[in-house]
Amino acid sequence: MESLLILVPLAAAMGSFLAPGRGIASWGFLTSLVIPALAAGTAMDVYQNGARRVSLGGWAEPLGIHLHMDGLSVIFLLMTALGGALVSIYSAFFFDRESARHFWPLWLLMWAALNSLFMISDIFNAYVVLELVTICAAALAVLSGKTESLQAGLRYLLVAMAGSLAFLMGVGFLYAETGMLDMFMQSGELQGGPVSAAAFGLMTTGLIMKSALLPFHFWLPPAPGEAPAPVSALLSALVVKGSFFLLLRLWVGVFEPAGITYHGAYFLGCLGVLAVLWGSYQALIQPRLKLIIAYSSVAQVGYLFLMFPLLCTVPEAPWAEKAWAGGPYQAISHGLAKAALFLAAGNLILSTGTDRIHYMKNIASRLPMTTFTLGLAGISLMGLPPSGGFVAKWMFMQAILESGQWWWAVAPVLGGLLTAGYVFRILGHAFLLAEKEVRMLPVPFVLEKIPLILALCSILIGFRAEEVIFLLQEHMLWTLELEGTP
Amino acid sequence: MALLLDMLVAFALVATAWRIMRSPGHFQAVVLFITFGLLLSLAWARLHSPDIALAEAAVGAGLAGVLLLDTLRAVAPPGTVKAGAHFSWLLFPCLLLAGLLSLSIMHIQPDIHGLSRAVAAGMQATSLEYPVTAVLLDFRGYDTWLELGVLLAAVLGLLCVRRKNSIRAPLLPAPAEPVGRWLISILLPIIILVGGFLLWLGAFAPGGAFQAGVVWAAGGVLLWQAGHPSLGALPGSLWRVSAVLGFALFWVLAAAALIRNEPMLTHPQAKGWILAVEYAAALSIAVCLTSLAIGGQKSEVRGQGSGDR
Amino acid sequence: MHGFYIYAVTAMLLFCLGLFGLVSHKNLLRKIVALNVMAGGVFLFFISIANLDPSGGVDPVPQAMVLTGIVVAISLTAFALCLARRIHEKTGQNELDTSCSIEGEDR
Repeated sequence: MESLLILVPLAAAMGSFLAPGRGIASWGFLTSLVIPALAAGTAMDVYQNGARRVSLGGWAEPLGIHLHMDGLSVIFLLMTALGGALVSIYSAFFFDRESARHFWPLWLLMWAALNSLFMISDIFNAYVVLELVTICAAALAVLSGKTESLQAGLRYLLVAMAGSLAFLMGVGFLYAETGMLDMFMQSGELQGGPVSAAAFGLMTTGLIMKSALLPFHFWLPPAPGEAPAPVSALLSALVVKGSFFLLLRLWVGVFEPAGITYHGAYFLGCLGVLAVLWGSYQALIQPRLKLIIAYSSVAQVGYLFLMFPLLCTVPEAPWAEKAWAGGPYQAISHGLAKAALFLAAGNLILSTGTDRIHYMKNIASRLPMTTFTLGLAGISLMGLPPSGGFVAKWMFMQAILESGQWWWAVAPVLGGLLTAGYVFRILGHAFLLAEKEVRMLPVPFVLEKIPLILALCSILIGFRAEEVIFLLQEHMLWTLELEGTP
Repeated sequence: MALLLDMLVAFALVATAWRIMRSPGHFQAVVLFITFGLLLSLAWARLHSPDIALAEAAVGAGLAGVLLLDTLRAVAPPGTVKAGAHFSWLLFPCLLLAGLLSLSIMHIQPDIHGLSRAVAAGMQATSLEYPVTAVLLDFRGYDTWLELGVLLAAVLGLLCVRRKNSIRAPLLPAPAEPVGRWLISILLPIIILVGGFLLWLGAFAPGGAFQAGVVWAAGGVLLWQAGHPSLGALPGSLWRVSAVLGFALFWVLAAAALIRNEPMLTHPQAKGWILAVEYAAALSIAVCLTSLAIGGQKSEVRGQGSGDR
Repeated sequence: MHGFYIYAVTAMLLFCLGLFGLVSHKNLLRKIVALNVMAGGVFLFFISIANLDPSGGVDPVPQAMVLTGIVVAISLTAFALCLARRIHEKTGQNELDTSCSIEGEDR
């Protein structure tokens, strides 16, 4: 099952590369039908039987590479399956033939790489997979061929390459200390000395560069801001989460047991808070809808980093479970809401030819469905009940209050207010009456429905919180001792 | 004596890197980078890694050099030399970082075993005789598979940037003097032979798919540089198939294991299977690297922009 | 044994010099060259670890990882160079626009 999550998109990628004819979109279409079923199957399996791993090539650890599935990976796999499938269907109707020919092989390769990343277990394999994601993402970002997008794509590529090299250097230090590459086996072997610290610093820096945390956020807004709508959705919703996922795995699984995360965790928390405030403020003053959404990603990624001070400072903290549930919840609900917003923005551009919010007047009566989508996704971003974003922020707030580290509450509270600010700024313009009629093209039916479905999903996952939290808490890293008995 | 030699190589590496960063001219920096690649392969040879020395000499000094010089020719007409680095004060934090990292190196236990014992145990079970090839193709075959994916993605990205559907580079004017043609006609068979030999060698000695692929790619680039129709002359479909072949065979290997209800990528330890995958990988590496080197050319005016709608 | 320390420290110096080049140059070609020097440093570190093996041999796993890494690095370099070239064709610039043209004419 889990191997198919990699094999199917790869087969489709090769197919769309070898047969770039008229029916190229059907490769992506078929994949987007199969992958959610496979992901759901894997999720059910983990839900019922607990975490498990597969040895690729049949070579046992420490020699071979493994795929590792537990609650955390399943949650991210489900998000990628749902978001990826819906964006794929949207893309099947969105691109012209020339762009589709470049889009599909790259996106399908990237999909396989993302699925593989969420089942990662081997740290060098993680480097190769990350680079595959990077190069596909950069190539997708330049799909429109505009000068700005080329510059944004190259900027992303350079940052990501530097980040990967720092990560790889960290891999070298970990190998020098433990003599192994499997991150779940390394956790007990680290001594917490200078070598571990060097690995910790290098890998963390490399990964936060790739996940666009505050000082390294500068590549994020332009890249999705200039790309075609489905690509923006994929970059913002999925790609950034990949390196965050890896960072979380390494911190909680490898470095926290070695006891070297204490100061780093507070530092990352501070960066996270700054990212929330700065990103939201920038979103508030942007003139274009896609840039508002892109800067909002900087802020929403910041929330994710609140997990680290709550999880990695006090060992066996009673509030850890809540923080542990909050982070992935934030990741999914943000991923779905952000994809919905970018696709809705794409519809607006299709219809009016621009995404400057001054020209967005009166779209509420002309494009009611798109406006509704913007509103729904905005609810999830703001964290109003009953949306997924609400559950995430509520979990965070509970963990923050229990831990007594009350200062982190600045982020959810002020960030929420600022988010409300820019969401209402978008909606406010949408409901204004235009002085003179602007010509608007009709938007195809499917293109209007897909973002709506995504936005609804980001609200509806708020109702399934119990299962998700169960999955995360029961089948977590601390059940790994069971792994000797596959 | 050995210590002196090591220190000399190390010093030369650092000095070259320093010059690369500080030299005012771009051309100078690129040439120094090629020197740097050659020095690195000297270091690999000193560190008992002939495979990497071979690969580095071919890639770091050869292919990367061709790519960089080619780009330099396209983007910077000779004679326009700009000032060098801008934020020179950043050198101090960078050196501080180097000092910190070097201090942690001093704490590395000198008796770590790494995975060499596990590899030695695994060698009993695999049909390959040379450990590095066994790690690449068998124990960590998934890495190699995805690495072929990265290479393929780079080619796809290049096509995406160029808005092309296949690698059709405009022919360079053939060199006028007969020496160049004569050189090609002698070098090309040698290159093909050397590549094949390296490939065959990989099963039991230093060598293998990657080194062979790089040598072949060098041949392809050489052909194109000499004004011959190289890869661009291949029909589009044939080019596509050969670029994806290594990746596809890995896929078949992975999927076949699933049908037999074994973990992905498990294969019966038949040497023929692995060698088939290795040969296909070498071909794909050669085709992809050649495409990356020659496909970045500006397409002809007529073809350009046809896709922009 | 001394060889390990010499080459490992060299590797760190190369990594940091490459980093310095990456942040201090505006020219894209120079940035890409600097990234490749960084990569050289990382690979050198891997191989010097491989030489630590107490049995006297060389650990094949880091060697294989470096071979993989070299392919990955050349792929990314080639793609980055292609992008840099395209940017030059479009704008005549060899640098990334740092003035944030995306902010639009409103600001």
